[in-house]
Amino acid sequence: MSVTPALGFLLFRTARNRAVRLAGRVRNPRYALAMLAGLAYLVLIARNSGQGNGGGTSLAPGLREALLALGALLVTIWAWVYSHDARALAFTPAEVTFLFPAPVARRALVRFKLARAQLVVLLNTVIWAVIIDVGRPGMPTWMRAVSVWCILSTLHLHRLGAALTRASLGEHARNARRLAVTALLTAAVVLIGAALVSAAPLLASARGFEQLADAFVAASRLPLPALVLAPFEAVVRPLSVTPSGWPMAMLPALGVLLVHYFWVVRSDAAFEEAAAEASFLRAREIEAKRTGGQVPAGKERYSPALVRLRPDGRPEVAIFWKNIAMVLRRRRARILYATYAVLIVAAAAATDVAPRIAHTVGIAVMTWGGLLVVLGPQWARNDLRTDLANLDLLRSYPVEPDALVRAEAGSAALMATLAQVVLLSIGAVALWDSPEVTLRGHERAVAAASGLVLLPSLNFMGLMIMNGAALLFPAWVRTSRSRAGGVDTLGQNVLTAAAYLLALALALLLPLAIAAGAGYLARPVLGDWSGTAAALVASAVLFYQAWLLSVWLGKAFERIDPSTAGIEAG
Amino acid sequence: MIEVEALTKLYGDLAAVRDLGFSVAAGEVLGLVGPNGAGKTTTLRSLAGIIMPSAGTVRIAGHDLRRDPIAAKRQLAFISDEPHLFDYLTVGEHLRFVARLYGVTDAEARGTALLDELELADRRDSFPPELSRGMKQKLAIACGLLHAPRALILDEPLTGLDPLGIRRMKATITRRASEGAAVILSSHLLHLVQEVCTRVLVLRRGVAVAEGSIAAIVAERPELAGRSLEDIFIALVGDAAAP
Repeated sequence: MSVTPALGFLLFRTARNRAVRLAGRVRNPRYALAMLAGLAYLVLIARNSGQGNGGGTSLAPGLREALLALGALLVTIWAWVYSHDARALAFTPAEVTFLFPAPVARRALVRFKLARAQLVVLLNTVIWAVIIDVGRPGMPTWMRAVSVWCILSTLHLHRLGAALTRASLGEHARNARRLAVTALLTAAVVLIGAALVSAAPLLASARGFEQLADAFVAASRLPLPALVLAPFEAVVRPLSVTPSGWPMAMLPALGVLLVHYFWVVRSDAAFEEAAAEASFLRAREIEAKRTGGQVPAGKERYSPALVRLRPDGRPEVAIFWKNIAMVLRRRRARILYATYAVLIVAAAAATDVAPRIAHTVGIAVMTWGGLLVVLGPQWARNDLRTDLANLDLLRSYPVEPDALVRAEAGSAALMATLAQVVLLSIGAVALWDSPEVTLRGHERAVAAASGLVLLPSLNFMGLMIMNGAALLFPAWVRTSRSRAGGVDTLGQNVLTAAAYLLALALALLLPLAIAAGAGYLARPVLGDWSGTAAALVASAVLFYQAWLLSVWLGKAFERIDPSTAGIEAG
Repeated sequence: MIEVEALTKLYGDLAAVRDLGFSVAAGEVLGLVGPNGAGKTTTLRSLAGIIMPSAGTVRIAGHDLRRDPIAAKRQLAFISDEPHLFDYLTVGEHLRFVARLYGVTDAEARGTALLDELELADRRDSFPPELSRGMKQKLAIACGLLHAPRALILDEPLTGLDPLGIRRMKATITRRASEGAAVILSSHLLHLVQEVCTRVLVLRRGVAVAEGSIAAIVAERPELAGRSLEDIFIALVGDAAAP
């Protein structure tokens, strides 16, 4: 990828200066310690992987390949469906100011954009090459790294290509090209739908995860699903083959990559206009984050207020109210909650009409809800992580710092809890009559009650950890979603998730130990309900710990200096 | 009302503000002037409790900002040159949000009067993205004035305002001062400082080089007599203001 010398200079100096700034940050002992911990984690995983035990589940090659291909397919669908992916085209305001009026060819701009994205892709390639458990002793690290780079680069190019094609569709109102692209996309949707229909009976007949895995592999080899997955399997296959088969597996993968490259650089979309529009949206996102706003979704309008805030009472409630409004006022959030409501009704209806479908949906929703229990605090960001870009304003408010931290974490904890409870409820309704659920009536009540008392504290602690990380490492906090490039930045997110889960596990040690004792003592009196009593005790201890943490974080909030914290909007 | 003693703010070896001391009484408007990098914004952010001074004392209405920050912050308002607003709260809700933070029980009446004064009454249900830059600045000013602060700190308050808005803003500042507020105003617009401020404090490289009314400053340095405020400013800050 050649870019003009000026663009090359910009690219090189940006990368170099960013690295220098990162190195400067590490002079701070706190950042140095965190960086060392992260590196130690990667080294530990790399050593385990090198010894062939991988430290994780060892999937059969066929299943691994089919799952990776399905993942790549889902990422691709996401790129076409998700409306915000125009961000893939975005340039920074400075780039728009300097590059767009400059005598730089459109193709050079596209190449610059691709080359710049490679900085992120390469970083995440390194992380993934270490993290993923390919379970193949003897597979050299460099082969793994090249395979991962190829996958991430292809997916990034596809995202960019999809955004350009959408821009092109908008530009060519009613011409043959628009019709052709629309026909192609329609054909793809029909093909995917048909593949799903042909695979459904096999998947629906599976009992348990092992059978489901076998059924999934078998379904992926049926003619239509195999046709749909073929290009994706070509991209991911190098990760599943033996070292001797790797060069041959790389050829089709590189072929797909090249096709994507030419698709993007030769796309006829008005790149500058599309990129300028995307850059404008990105600038608005940064501005919104800087002023404490949620990411404005283009023409999104906000709904009326749900609750009127009284002028008297504890001031931190205002922060809590503001953060809840941030989520609930967005139209997309309301659509999501409406979808949840429809899903509950549909799940309840399906248990009688189509029990197998209800079962499958129930398992899927339960899995999603469970994932949200574990990682919800990472995703619910209506808290200090968003408000950090607005630190000046927060610091000027007459609110006790620890109370402010609790309000920030508490508002996100409430939203995370609501989402988890709703999803788990949908799953429970869908699985209510499933013969594979062996819990009896009162056992279900015990499980539900235990979950309801434990989830709020669990989320409160989880959010306290995430907000604590934001206060202790403000320079590493992503204050805007625009910086998340997509699947190419997943490696960094995996590292964050690992650190978060480790901290949460440590925080759970004491509550679980005390709860186990309480449950043991309560068992003779309460029977099965001792589980709920234990959950209640665990919840109380966890909440108390989170409260203590908030007091400490309040002091950190007082000490943080917005001028030197290194917070970057966007 | 605002008392500052030996205020120092260090960034590593660099002293952004060094050993600064001054006070602003109720009804006074102090103009903080100086070239870029003189330490004006650092001083104002220290007074507003946004950044912690490395040394020194700041008292707002008798409350030590370090020892009793909540009581001190209840008495002050900081309005910066960039309006900080929340995209998902309407104009009216911004006022209710601030009312809750500062415990303003008669917020409805005060808010209505402020919106009238700042010509935002018909935009009560608008969201910030629907407002112009000047309207956003007016809303930020309304939020700052809602709790009738006894200490008002303004950093380049006229940025983004149209001529009419500038005139109203100047009237608002002098009115607040006449009602008993202590006002500190940072601006590069020397005519504004001359028109609105009762005293000026000139900063150069983090150090106060002159303080007092313009007449008093000229009296101390007779060679400045008869010169324009711009010339006086350049003479005081020396090469720091040179292009």
